[in-house]
Amino acid sequence: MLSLRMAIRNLLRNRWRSGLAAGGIAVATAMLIWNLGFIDGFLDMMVRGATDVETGHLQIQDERYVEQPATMDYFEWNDEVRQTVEATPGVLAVTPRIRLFGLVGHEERSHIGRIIGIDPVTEPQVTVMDRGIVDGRWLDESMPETGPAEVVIGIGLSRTLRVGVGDELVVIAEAVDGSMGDGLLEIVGIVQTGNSRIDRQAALLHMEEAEFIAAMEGAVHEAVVAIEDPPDAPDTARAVQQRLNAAGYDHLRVRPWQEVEPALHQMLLYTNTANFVIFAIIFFIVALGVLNALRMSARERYREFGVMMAVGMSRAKMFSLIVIEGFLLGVVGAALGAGLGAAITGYHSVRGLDLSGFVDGDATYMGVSFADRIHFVISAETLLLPTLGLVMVSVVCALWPALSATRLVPRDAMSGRD
Amino acid sequence: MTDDMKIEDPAGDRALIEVRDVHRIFHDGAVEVHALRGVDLDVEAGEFSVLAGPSGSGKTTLLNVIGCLDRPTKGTVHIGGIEVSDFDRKKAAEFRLRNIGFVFQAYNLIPVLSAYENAEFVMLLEGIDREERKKTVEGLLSEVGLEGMFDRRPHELSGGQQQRVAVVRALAGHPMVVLADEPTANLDSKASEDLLDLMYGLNQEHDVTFLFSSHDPAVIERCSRVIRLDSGEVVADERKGEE
Repeated sequence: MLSLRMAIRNLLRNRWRSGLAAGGIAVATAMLIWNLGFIDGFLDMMVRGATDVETGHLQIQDERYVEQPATMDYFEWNDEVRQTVEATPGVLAVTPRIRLFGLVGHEERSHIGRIIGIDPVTEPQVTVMDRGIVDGRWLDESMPETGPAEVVIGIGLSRTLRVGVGDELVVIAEAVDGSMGDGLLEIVGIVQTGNSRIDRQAALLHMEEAEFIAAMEGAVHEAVVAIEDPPDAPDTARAVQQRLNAAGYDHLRVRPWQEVEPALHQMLLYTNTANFVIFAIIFFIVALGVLNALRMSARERYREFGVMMAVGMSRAKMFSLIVIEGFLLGVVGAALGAGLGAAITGYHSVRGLDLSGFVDGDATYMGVSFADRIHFVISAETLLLPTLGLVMVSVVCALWPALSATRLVPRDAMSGRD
Repeated sequence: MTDDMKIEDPAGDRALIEVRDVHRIFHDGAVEVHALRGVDLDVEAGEFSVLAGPSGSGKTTLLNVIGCLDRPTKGTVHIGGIEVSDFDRKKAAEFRLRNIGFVFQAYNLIPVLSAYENAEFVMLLEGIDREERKKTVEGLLSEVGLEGMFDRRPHELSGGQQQRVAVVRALAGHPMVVLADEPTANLDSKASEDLLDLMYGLNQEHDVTFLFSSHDPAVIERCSRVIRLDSGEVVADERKGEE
């Protein structure tokens, strides 16, 4: 209690100096929280742009397809496989896909397209492609009984082909038997997802139509899985893999999104490293200010320290007195900064930060469009990491003056010779 | 001495403070300064004594050596029968805390603590409980005429009042000996006189040994024993009333 009382009063002795040091910690804390919120928001946008729109959290493919994607490397999609996947803890939903590459044409225009056969009912349980409809509608639950099959295409592809809802498209793709399959489709919807692979190239059609074009029946190229906890995708992938192996489907490979999108995963790792470097630089700058304040404060009191040690204060108590001052300075500064940082970051998490002045509307990065407005992510980690980190910095900065004080010789300190 | 280094039987058949052939040599670059040259001294419990002498005579150095603030280059110091001259820093600090009270020339109160908190500082370090601290400190502060000033910070007190707080701080831990280094040097004549009256009264009433270092004639006049030093040697040892 004595040390705490003295530490508080000592900090209040030179309010300007303590205030400036605490202010520096506060600004740094707020800045780091804001920066983390921004980075996390950006990464969240990137990950969601990839996983929520197309990749999903897990993908199941034949091991040959993983090595080298080819139309003929499909696997049988049956109830046993579906139920095995769905029964794995942590799995929310699973949807099958047929993936074909071919030409998508309208009258005199054609373009390379990703022709994706989907289940219109289960696909929205795994991805958010259906929410990206900007014109027309999503695929009907079942194929039309008469007339051309339905197709939803990406907005970029619609612009390239100069087509809209109601127009007809022809798709041509390689079938599993080596022949060329084709289909006549009617555009029922235009989708804009922010994922350039979908927006610029995708033609989404019913599984049955894709089976017809590719001459494959009851088989798919991939199953995409949504899980409860995306960061833990590797663990869930292992669990699904074990169950499939046990059921005799060991030719199937289950991959988490981190493996399916290695560039994205690497970017997350690099970003974490970059964050670490930014933290280290800011911590170092703050440390210089705090160290200066604490060391000056301690040096001015060497005579007092000499007296306190002369009357019997132990070196441990002397050490703790100065460390407590550093701790208090850190706590006050970091708490103020946490409040400020939480308020600004919270605001940007709700309202978003308008980046329209800096972002080219068509710009994409790793297949994901930049949004005009980034919504920050604020979490316990976002708040605690900078806050606790800077309290630690302040405590560490107090160690040097504290150690110096314990080495004082009372006789010399009292006479001003130290 | 108990485990916590508190002297229980201050003297027994020995003097409270025994200084034997103490030398203290300081090194200032290549120059050796002999601050003390073979000092021998006994101080009995309950004495009110002064180390007198001109500046540079070794008064403060001898007081520091006796107070475990410095170690002799040669020789021994025993307090309460315990050799303190070979204590390391930790033991010396613990011994000072339990057995020695200090009054310094420049008052040396802790500016961020009130008069009351300064006075109880040593007791807090000793781990004495709140009730006992309150009883002792309030009693002593009142005894030295500082009632009503408990909450004042040092800068709100006069020099004489600050020195009284310092005296209370020195006495609050119930030490065997109070070492006072030029305690009146920063005080006017009236304040010096009052402080000496006070310390003499405490010496008589609480049976605490006082050892001053001073060249102030007023201090020398009031002390019952005057140990004169010159060039690091005891040159005279006068006990008043002994002709």
